[in-house]
Amino acid sequence: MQSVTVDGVDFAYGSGELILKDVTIDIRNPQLISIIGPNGVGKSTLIHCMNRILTPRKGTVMVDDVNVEEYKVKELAKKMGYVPYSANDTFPLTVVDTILMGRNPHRKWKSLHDDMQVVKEVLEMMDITPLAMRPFNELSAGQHQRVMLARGLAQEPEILLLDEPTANLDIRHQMDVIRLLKQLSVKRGIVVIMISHDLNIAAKYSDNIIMMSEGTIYAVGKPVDVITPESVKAVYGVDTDVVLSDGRPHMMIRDHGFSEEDAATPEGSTVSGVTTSGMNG
Amino acid sequence: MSPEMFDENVYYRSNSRKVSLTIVFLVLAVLTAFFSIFLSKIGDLSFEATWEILKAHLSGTSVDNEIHDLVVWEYNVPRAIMGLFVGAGLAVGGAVMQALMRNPLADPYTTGVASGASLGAVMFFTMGISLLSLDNYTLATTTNALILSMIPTMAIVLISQHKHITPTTMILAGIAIMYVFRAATSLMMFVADPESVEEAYIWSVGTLGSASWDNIWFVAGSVTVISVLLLLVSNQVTIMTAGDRSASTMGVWAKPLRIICLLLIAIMTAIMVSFTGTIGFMGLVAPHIARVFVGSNMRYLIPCSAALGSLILIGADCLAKTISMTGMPVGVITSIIGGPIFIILLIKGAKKVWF
Repeated sequence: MQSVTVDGVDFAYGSGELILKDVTIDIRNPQLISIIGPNGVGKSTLIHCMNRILTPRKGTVMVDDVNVEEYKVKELAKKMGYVPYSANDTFPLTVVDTILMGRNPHRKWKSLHDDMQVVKEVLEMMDITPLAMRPFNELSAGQHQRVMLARGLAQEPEILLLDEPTANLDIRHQMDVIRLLKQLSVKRGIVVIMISHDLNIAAKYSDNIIMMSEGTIYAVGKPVDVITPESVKAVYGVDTDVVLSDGRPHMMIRDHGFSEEDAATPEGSTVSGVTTSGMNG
Repeated sequence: MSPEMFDENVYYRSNSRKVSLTIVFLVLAVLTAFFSIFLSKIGDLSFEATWEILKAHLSGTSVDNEIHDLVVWEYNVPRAIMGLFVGAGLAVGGAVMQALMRNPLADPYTTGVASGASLGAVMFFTMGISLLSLDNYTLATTTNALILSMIPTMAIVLISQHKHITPTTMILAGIAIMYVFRAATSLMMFVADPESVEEAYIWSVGTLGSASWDNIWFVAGSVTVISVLLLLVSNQVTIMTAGDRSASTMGVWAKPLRIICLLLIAIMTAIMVSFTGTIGFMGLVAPHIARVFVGSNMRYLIPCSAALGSLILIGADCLAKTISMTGMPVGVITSIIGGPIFIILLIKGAKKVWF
């Protein structure tokens, strides 16, 4: 059974300030895990330490109980996939070629035909079949996101790390992607670890949530235990009401200090209502 | 109603089209090279006379007019072959460097690799200095070129480790290195024996005129071997365009791959430069034109860039031969074409120009 174990990890760029401070976490069994926390608390850094993009200053990272440093690059890529937040498109490829990159760890001399079957499947899963032969740079931000996800899925990893997979997506595609990730964890037995800024989506679908604050882990556990008005206030500094819906926490922002007068327009300017009158249709 | 699955044959057909286009360019390049053999203003050579000499050599009979024979067989034919291989080599070097550095402005010339090699060669030409104390002319120039081309190559490897280096900064660093090497080259010409200066000057601009049956094998061999090696890792190089971090998570050993590829390109460049001088901007222009036809998948871009590089360089050499009696250095023509394209790329970025 797959596992990711982070043990006493400190990380800093060069001799700079510590971004991760003595982080310890043990992830086992197929599940969907969300890492939440404000900007700049080290969520991406933690993920990058897990997949060896960054090397911790202190502590160890184990994947399937083997130190991550000991893996050959292709072996690690077979175990662990990564979907970055943004994609580079200096030299854009077609969507198919971009997704085929993900097949690299599995690729053999004559395996293109087999690899194409996987590509076809993930094109369907991500709802981007009609875009297959389009150049990457002609796509919208949301379409980029889905192509990057497809690339990660084509890699067929046992552990999938995702950096804000639902950013840039409309609500329907957000739902589709999260449901898909949840399904992967259940049906294919994959450990899915994603960074999320949408606490309600994280709460609704995650099996466990890791809440980070200033380079440390503030809380770990079931959504209902982690997302509370107290923890959200402590970590984000925002007042919220949390209600339970289907046994899952649902958070609503409470901002009683805000009134319409605070947002009043400066004197002399007028703001007209937004209407559709006079427009076509 | 479920949508249709993607028809993979569409992908295979698109790849076949890329291969066909590349073959077309290659055939055009070879035809142009053949045509260039007939372009000669020396010794009132007619087309028919040239054809007779070629036929005589291919059938193994002797040729009457020794001067004509010299011009056609000992000069024009090797020159055409040299043009094919040097054009291909510079273009492949440029295409791979651009991908590895994720930089549309990179090529052996703009990164200073060619200028380093050039300084090494001039060092032996004008001053007789061999860094490895070798007497053999070819070996001494080539090893000098190789050693000095390593300086900019190492600089690129080191600079590219830094996170905050933009593509433009990187190229500015390359151009700065190029100026230092050029100044050193000029200094050597200044103090050198006046007779060797003219030759060294033409060479420093870049010419195919020094091609001979003795030296084209070095160039043809190294360009062929190194291009094939680069083609073998082309899938990995394609993944490198996703960035080092992403590439390593997809199973590419990013840093070693970059260093090995850049070293191979430096070796190939040093050998080419030893015989032809610095032919400017070829490695920049050919891959960008190739991208318009075959896209950025290196598996197709490397061969297509090579074919287009050959075609463009031979075409430019035909122009150079036609314009002046003695044969203008082809580097002048390529720089006239390449300079403006470089400036447009610098201002607009590759995406807005080509895609």
